[in-house]
Amino acid sequence: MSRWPARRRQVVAASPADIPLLDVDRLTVRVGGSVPVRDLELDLAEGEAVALVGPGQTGKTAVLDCIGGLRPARGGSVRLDGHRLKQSFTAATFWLVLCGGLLVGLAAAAAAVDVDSLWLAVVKRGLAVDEPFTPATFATRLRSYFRAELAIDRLADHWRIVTADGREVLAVRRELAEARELRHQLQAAVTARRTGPGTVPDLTDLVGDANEPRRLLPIPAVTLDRLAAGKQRIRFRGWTALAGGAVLGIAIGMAVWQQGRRSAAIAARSGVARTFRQPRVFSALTVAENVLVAAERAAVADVAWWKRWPGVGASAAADRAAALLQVVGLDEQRALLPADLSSAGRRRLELARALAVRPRLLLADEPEAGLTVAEQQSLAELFERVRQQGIAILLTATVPGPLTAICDRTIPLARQPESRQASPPRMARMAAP
Amino acid sequence: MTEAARQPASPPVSGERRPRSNPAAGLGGPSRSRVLDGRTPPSNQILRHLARSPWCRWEVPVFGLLAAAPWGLADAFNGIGGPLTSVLILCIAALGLNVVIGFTGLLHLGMAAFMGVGGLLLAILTVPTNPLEIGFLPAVCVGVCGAAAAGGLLAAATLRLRADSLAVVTLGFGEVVRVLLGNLEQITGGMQGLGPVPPPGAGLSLAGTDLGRAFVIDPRWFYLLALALLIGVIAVLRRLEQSAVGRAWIAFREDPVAAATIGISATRVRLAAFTVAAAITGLAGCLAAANLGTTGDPHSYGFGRSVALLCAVMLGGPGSLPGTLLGVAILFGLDIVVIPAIDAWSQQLTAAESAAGPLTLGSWRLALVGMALIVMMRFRPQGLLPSRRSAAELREKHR
Amino acid sequence: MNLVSFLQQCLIGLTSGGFLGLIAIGYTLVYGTVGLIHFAHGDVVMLGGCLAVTLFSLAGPLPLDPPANWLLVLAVAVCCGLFCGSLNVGIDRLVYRPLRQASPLAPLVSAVGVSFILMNIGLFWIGPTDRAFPEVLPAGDRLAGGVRLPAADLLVLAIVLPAFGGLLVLLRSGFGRSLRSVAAVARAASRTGGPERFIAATFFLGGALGGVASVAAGIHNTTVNYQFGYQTGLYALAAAVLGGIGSVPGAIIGGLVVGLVRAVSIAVLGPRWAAATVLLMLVVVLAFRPAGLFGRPAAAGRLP
Repeated sequence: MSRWPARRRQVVAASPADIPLLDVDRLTVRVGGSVPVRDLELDLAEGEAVALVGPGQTGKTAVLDCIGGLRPARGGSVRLDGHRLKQSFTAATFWLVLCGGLLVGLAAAAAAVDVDSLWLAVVKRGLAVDEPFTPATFATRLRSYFRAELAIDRLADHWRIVTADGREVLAVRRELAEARELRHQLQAAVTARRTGPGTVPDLTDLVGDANEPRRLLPIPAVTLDRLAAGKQRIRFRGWTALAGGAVLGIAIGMAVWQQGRRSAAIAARSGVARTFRQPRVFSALTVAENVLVAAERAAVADVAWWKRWPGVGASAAADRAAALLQVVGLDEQRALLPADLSSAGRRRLELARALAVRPRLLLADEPEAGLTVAEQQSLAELFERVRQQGIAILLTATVPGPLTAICDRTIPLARQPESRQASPPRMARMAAP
Repeated sequence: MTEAARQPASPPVSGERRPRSNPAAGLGGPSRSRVLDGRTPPSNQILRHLARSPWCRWEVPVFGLLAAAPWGLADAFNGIGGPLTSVLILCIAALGLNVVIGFTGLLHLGMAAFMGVGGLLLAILTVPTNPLEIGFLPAVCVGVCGAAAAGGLLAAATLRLRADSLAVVTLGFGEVVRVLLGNLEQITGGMQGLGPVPPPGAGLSLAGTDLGRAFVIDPRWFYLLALALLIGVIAVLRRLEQSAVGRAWIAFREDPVAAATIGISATRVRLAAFTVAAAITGLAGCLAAANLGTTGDPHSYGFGRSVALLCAVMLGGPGSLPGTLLGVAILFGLDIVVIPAIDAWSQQLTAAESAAGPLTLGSWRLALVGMALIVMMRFRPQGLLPSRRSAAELREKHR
Repeated sequence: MNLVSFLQQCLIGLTSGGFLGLIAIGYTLVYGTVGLIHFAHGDVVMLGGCLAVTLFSLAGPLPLDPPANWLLVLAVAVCCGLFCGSLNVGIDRLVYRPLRQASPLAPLVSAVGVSFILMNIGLFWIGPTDRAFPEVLPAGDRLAGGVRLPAADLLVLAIVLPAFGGLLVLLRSGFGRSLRSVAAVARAASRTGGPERFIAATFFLGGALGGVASVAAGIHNTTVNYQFGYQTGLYALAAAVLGGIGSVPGAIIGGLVVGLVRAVSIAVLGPRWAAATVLLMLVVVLAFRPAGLFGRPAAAGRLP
């Protein structure tokens, strides 16, 4: 259904030589009030390492944010293996949005046809006249409600003839048989009105002695007209609300889906990993759990959604987490909390976590910030091993160092000399979080 | 609740580091065979230090006490059995809210509406004035599923909202449900509620005794049913917390951005968490309706109840299971037991005929709860019994 | 429903939207400055209404003659505004200021606590049931082209429109500009205890407008209730979120829209679906613009 499992399998097969792994085309990034990066072009092949070097405020982090899906780009495109990192409109999305829209439409239709009276007419009134509740009677009553037909209701020991929505009482009788007969007559009159001018049968009153003359029932014509128009009214309201509600629901679903099309999670599932300038590790989880949570996520992503019972992929994920902890050298500290690690340790933990998602591209933001030279050396060795696995690396740095030394290319970024003079409120907004 | 932080770190199993030149050193290669040199491979080390005994320290004594209470207290139980059952049911509802607040870190101010949905579905399906009378168990299943569906729908509509807008929309949702419960009289029974809801075992007989009558005659059975369901919910939540899904949710709560970069999508976490929370709260609503015999006043599913649940969770510590139970116990124990007792006692002291107005403690109940909340948030925002994870998070934040 | 009655409903809706907008401005200003939703604002407005009732009852027999009653309403509105403003500042100083650095849940829960305390005070001030708002104007409707507008609503408009105008003028002036820029810096610098005076000024301004709105609301609804903060305050909060919480023009427009939609839906669908209609509209708008109509989208790099 989704193309992610397919893309993952492409790692084993060689991707066509002419499509680069990462293709950044005329990327323009906006940060606050200025545009520090304009029309950046970048190509990365598998196993290639590129460094973006430049002083602060040149938009390096913003470029990584754009590529990784954390920030929308002002212009240009980013492609991984020739595909843009956007969630495609799958069949699942279609059905979900459609079902959601239909639910909203049904709710709106229920509100429009007065669900209260509908319930009364369909469920409760039948009980009053001792009709059994079977699907057939249910369907009959539903149909008669939508035709705005008259019904018989019970109040104490009297039987009343009421309109479909229970709002108006037309007559009261003491015997059920009489009420039924009268309802039949009244309904005939209403139907005659509804179908057009013609003969209207006499509405004679059944009550009365055989000796008394039968008199006409005083149902005013305007009432009959209103009752006759009732069917149109209910149907019109019902269908309008159903259609309108469904359209609204589908619109909401599409809008919500549209806004989430490009996100870091989708980039991660396509094989883009990210480390931050200040290591963002999960302090509520232990070292092992930090890496495990990423490995589990990657292990589950390969499995179709209907096969994802609890525990699937758990051992594979644990294997991978253990191996990665060994590689970065945090194996002894696996049971500690990240708060107990040194700064270099946390950086390595973040790297292990990023590698656990089996990335094809690693975006590292100033990985050597705050490390001693020796720590930078060992980190560079780690990055070299990562590169040998065929993982492309795009890292940023303020000054060239051991990490930029392992890179194939270096792209310098400079401050835009003609940056727009930002007005004070905008500058303040830039400072705001 | 991790035991891992207290265990001593065990030495790595496979001895020296693997040589650096080995390309298949676990970075991108396939998973290795499980047994190396006859010793336990590292993955099992990880799994072993993660697995912890599910029932530790506090659950066994507390629930043992609670389970023994009906027989231990004998006659005294008749007085407090009813309120105690209500407190247990509210514990279940608060645990549902705890799933949202504790796992996603978002605020949901309309949780009691799902109690209303669950209770209403149960009542509609079992009340004798409706033709559909199915049994208690199927009706509870439908109620829970209906509440879960409502929760999922609300989550889907609010997927991209910030925490503040989400709070307002959930608040509005709670209000809408309360208004509809009061106004759609034919369906919901209006302000009196829909009743009479038959007791759980109605129509069934076990070992010769009619279960329905047993539930009506002896309130202990409903108390034990509520307690059993509470234990079940706690077991499920505990298992969830220790599972892969729970870890992903905890990561999402702490840092949604970093969680997104490892593939944990906010969409799925929010949808799943809201659905599970609504299901649990719907279960509580079903129980409440069955306990009361009617769905009751719609106001009991409104903002007041939602905020009470929120206060209980925040008092005990968001994300902490024992904290939530303690919070509910304090809040409702105060409300149902302590304040009326103090009022009665002060009435005796002053020998007043009937204390009314500003003199009674009960009429200051709202202000007292408000004051308690403010003091709590000022001096101990992590709650009375913070979970180990949130304590670690808080330590980290204040480094 | 013919055109005239529809227009009448719209007019009623716009009037109620007016004071909803004033209350919404309070929510918006506080959020724009300190980044938290001041849940207790609706209850502060409720207490302003209580004060208005008390002041009117002290003023002697009502209604007074034309110039005097307008002056009385003005005086009471100013008093309520000052009262609510000071109350807001006090709440900020006592409850929110110690919590500036805490996680966002803590001030929210504290705000709920303050709301409870204020509700309890209101409960004792005016009692548990609706309390009739004194009749300030002689009864009578004004007719304009067949559309009837109660005199009370004219009074409400007379209060609300100048308040809006004055506010917009204020915000466009130098005070407003510096308020906005300092507000942004205050948010960023809140960890180091930023400009507290400006935060206090914001709270005061929001509260003052709410106090004025309470008089207008009392005249429009003809009752005050201790649960006003929870009933009408919720609509005002929805209006603030609809317009984009943090944006003052958004709060005004949001208030008008919410009032209009509510009145029209009450007229067309009945009172039971009014809340649902407003909520649905809010959800629809937020689905397309998660930050509200005039709100700024979430900062890049931050997930919702």
